[in-house]
Amino acid sequence: MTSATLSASAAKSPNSTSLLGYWLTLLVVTLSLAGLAIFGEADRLAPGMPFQQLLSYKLTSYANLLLVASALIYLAHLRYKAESVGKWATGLATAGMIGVLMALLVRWFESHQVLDEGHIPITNLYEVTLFFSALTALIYLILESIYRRKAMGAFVMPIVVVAIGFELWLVSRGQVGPQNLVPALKSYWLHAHVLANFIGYGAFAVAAGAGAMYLMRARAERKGRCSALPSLDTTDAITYKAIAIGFPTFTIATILGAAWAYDAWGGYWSWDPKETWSLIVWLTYAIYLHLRFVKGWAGTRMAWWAILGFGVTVFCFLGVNMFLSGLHSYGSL
Amino acid sequence: MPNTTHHEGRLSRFLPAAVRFLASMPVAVVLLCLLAITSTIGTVLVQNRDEDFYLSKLGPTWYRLFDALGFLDMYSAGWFIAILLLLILSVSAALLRHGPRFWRTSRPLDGIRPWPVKHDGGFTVPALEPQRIETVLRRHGFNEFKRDGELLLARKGRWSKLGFFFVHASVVLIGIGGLSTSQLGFRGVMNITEGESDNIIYIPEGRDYRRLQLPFQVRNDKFAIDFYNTGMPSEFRSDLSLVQDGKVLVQKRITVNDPLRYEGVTFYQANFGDAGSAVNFTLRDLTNEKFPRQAVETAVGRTLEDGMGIKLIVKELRQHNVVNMSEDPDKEVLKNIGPSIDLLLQSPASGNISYRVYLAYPHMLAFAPMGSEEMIYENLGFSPADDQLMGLLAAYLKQVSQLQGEVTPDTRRAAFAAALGEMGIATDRAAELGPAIIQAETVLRAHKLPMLFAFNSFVPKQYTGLQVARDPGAPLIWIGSTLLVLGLFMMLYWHEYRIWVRRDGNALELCALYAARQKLPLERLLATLQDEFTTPATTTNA
Ligand code: HEM
Repeated sequence: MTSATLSASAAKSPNSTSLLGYWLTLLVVTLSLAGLAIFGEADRLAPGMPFQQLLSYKLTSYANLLLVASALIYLAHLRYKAESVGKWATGLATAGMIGVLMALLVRWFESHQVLDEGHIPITNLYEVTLFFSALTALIYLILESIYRRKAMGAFVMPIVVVAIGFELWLVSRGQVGPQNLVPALKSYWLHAHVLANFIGYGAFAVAAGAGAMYLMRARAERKGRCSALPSLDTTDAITYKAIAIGFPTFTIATILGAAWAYDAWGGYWSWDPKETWSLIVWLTYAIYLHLRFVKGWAGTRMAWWAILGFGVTVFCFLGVNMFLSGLHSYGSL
Repeated sequence: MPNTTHHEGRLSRFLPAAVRFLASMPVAVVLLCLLAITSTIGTVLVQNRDEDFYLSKLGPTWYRLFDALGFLDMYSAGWFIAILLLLILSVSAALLRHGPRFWRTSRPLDGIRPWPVKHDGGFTVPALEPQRIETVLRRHGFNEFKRDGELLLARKGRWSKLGFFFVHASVVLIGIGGLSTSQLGFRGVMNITEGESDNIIYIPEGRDYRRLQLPFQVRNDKFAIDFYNTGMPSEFRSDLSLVQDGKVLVQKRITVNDPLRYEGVTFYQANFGDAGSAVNFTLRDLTNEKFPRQAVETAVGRTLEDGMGIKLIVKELRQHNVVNMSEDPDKEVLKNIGPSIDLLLQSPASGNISYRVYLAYPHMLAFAPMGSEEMIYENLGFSPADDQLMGLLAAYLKQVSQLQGEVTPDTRRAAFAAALGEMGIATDRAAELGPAIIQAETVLRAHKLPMLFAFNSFVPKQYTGLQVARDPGAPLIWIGSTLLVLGLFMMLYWHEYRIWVRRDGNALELCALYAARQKLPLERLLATLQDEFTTPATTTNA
């Protein structure tokens, strides 16, 4: 790289205090909107209200629409490269992400009204999937604002769309309403554990999106085509950055899970399928970091590794519940 | 690490080859992959079940093979523990190997080579005064400087390599913690009936149990379940006292996420069960045409026999039954309809029938014939404990069975009137009692049940299921975990940079070393530095 392009990219990189200001503003906006929504809904709530009538459910639907639209526009942006199109994509993704986070905050409040004992809304599959889609979008948008590259949205937002599809499937099975917690789930350790876990999952999703983008650009370069995607170096750096966010968070999550198990089940580790698979996820990314730090691997191989790692992550999140916990009946062997 | 610092120090040259081998990256990566891959086996094959289970699921060949390979109790199999031990050894070896290098690279700047043999990047710009260079570098976080004639050496992140030690030391600590838990600790169960005490812990070992005696008694003073309005349990709690020689050592109410810890032993609320609650119910024998009643006083878990091949087993007392009362399949309206008992009737004539008898809904008949999982619900019209109506029903059915010729509504009415007479009931009650009797007749003709039951009362007697564990490794685990998180953040977000600046006539030559293999951050830093070194002092200082 010549020093001229280097200086240009350095000059373009935004100033970190203004970025922080931007994200803090968004946080305040989210909180106040959620506050308003709660204020508006408070009188209508009654115990046992069906979930379709809850404000959080409606908010989620609209927010999901925005997220799906943003995914489409990111794809269009990738194709047509117009700056104004990219702005729309970012705007819609931001609005959708805020909408889902708001819906979760509202739902937290609602659970206290419609259940005997309210709780933080990250305790069933529907709620954590919402949380996952919001966090994936959030982590992506943060990286977008740092690296000023919108092309990656076309790789990450489709993952969010898949999560939304999964939510709709859960809705169709009626597994959506706020539910009372079984005694074992009443633990602050557990809530912190889930929170950290899904920040980790979200970051790994972003890393996989970046990895896919890397592979696509690398293919274009091999074929001698020019590509609108960010340079290989930048993409590689984004992939690493996402994993550097995800790995420590996921580590904290696993430790919090162990702390929960220690209080609830009498042992911090019992090699049950979920625990074992989270260890496997952890090992996958630990190997990634070794290969990168010590062997100096980068580029295509690491891009594949990031995608593989996300595959393992998804299996840990869903596959274990779908295929392995039912194993007591041995159904799937 | 860049290659420049990669040559081995004097000490590490004398490390045995074995240590160097164990600490090498290929070995570490192979071990990590091996652990990841083998771990999956135990998640696919259900662990620690009995032989019959595996024989029926796997067949004898696979069972014997998997058993021999240790796949059925995998996480305590020798080879699996060996992988874990090797991992710990590998990390320890890496710590040993990196220790000397760490001290060498973290020395004050004096000990560092004046001009690097190799570097990761650099540039040349027109010379500027040394003071400016230092100012610019300070702005970018460089905090150590050494000036040596025309040469300036600057560094930031001197202690950042501590992250490596924290992370890997934590792996060793967590490993040792885990091993001490599994080798020196135990985890077992105690089931203690309310009001009683016990001191024997049952510890599962593979597919067997080992008994361990505590030096004190654990007394279950009270066990209770709290419920949500819907009837779902919201909390389980036990009031426990630890008692030695008649003296109470400690008392605590434990709940699911709040155990009792005493001298290294921890008591967790794990589950509960029926310890033989007393139940009282009425039995109607429908095989006798008089439908005689029998009062039964017994306990959950008991089996009653009549000596002629009929057995009645009291399976379960449920204190709460939450059912969905909604007509709309998309909606859930949960309601608690109160206690029930499950009875299993085994008779040579009619096979096995299980009954669920509700305390609050005596006229509701719920049963499942042999082989059926699904309960059949019927409304009998009145309680089987109702002597008058059961007697009337018996008399009426007997009258009907004695009818000659064609059975018409009229002959039935006559049979009913005769039955009323037989029971000494005034005939003007016919309209009132008729529908219930017809209802019961229809139900009984449809299902041919040999017995009916009515549940009268119960006195619950429960045991609390405690998980009891001694976990000597836990402190190491928590110390290791803290160190791991700390070290990870240090390792991922704090790196060492070194920069050499050399004045060569009118030019300034700068080169940099970066202790992490990330291209972009270094390029960014260099580009910014170059920018700031070439723009006039007035603007950069502003
Ligand atoms: C089970 C766990 C682990 C094992 C068995 C292990 C093993 C090793 C070994 C043997 C080395 C030395 C390689 C050499 O000298 O060339 C090493 C280096 C390294 N490990 Fe790990 N490690 C583990 C966990 C981790 C984790 C969780 C991280 C997280 C980031 C990590 C990051 C590194 C880094 C960055 C180096 C290179 C240090 C340097 O050369 O400056 N390790 N590891």
